[in-house]
Amino acid sequence: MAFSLGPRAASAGYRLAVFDRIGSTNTEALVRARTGETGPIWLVTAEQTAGRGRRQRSWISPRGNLASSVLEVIDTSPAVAATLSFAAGLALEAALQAVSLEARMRSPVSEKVTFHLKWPNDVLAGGRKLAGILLEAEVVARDRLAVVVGIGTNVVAAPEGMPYPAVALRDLGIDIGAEDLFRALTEAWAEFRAIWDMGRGFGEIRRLWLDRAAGVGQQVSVQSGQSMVSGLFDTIDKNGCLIVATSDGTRVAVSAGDVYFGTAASVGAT
Amino acid sequence: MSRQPGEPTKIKTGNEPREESDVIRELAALLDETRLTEIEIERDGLRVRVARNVTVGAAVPAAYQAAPAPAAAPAASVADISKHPGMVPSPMVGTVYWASEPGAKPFIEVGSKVAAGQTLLIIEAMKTMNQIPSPRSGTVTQILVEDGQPVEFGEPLVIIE
Repeated sequence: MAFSLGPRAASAGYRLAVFDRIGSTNTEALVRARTGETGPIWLVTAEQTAGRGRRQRSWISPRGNLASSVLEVIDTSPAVAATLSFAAGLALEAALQAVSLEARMRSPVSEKVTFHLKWPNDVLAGGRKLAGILLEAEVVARDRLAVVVGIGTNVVAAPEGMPYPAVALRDLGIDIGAEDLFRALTEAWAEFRAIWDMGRGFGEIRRLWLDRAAGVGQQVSVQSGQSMVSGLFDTIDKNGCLIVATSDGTRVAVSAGDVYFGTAASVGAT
Repeated sequence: MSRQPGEPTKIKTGNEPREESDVIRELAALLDETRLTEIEIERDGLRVRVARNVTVGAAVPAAYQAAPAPAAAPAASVADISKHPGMVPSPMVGTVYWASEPGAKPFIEVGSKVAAGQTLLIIEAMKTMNQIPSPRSGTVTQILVEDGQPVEFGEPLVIIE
């Protein structure tokens, strides 16, 4: 089975570039944006050899896992574009739900799996990381903003030796191919991209995201560089920042960092 | 409870007597931890206010330090920088990085010649990495943000002359 777009994505004008093997779909999308590609276009590869996460951490994506990026070149501010991060998490979660339902219909013995979103857009299954999303944005010709949304999912294999627990769809008894998930993802992306509506729909995206978020109302620690903020995960604000209510009664808005559930002690911090 | 801009956060302390220096040290630690710019407490008629200058951090290595960093610069100097014609403001709320990854060579240093459109910094928000381009060509004369520092919309990042 080959990679293909869903009907809704195709009719919304998305194009598709398929690779057998590539360094990074995000890098390829950015290179194309710099050389005149105006999108919207999906890039997907059977194997990614130099995938990247936050702060250039490597993202391991062997053959069988899904490594894809969507490029949107839009007229909006970087602040608004950053809220697309939540639409991306929602789209992936919806696609995962759709394919796991299909898998259950084929094999009724498999159990229902609930997915949660970890701020801002990781997808968790049973508290373990199933998928990661990284957005990269830069100004291109005519002052437009090229936004690349890189979406990686552990379909057949989760990386080992990570500092956090990871899981693959196959481990969860969800037996589907990366091609199935990709097609569902392109459909869900078209849907949530429309709800997001250049940021005008962020209120709705925020509400949907909070419904599916992991750890709201619970103890959370966010590490950014050398600094750590701990407290209760209250909500996300109008920019999408994670609001931590600390024990002294202050509310800290966090725009970037690694989120840990539980107390600071659980991540070895003081 | 939300904090209004410019309004110091008031913190209740216990009634047990404590050395003032301990209180100040504790407040300074809290300031670091919470990333607030100032904290004020009042107890038994004693008012203590601890503030820091977030525009130029004390932890900036000498090579990137644009100006001496007093513990609490007068507000006027911040206003002057924001009116500087070469000032590049932050287009968003986020966290600034000097380089593409920890430990890598910074995009710019004080004295760097930059072309219009060249990347000055990266600002991360909601796991979106935004390359901040130079609005004009010139020379970087000041870098006003630390690596890993949270910034607000409009906050001065860099001066290019």
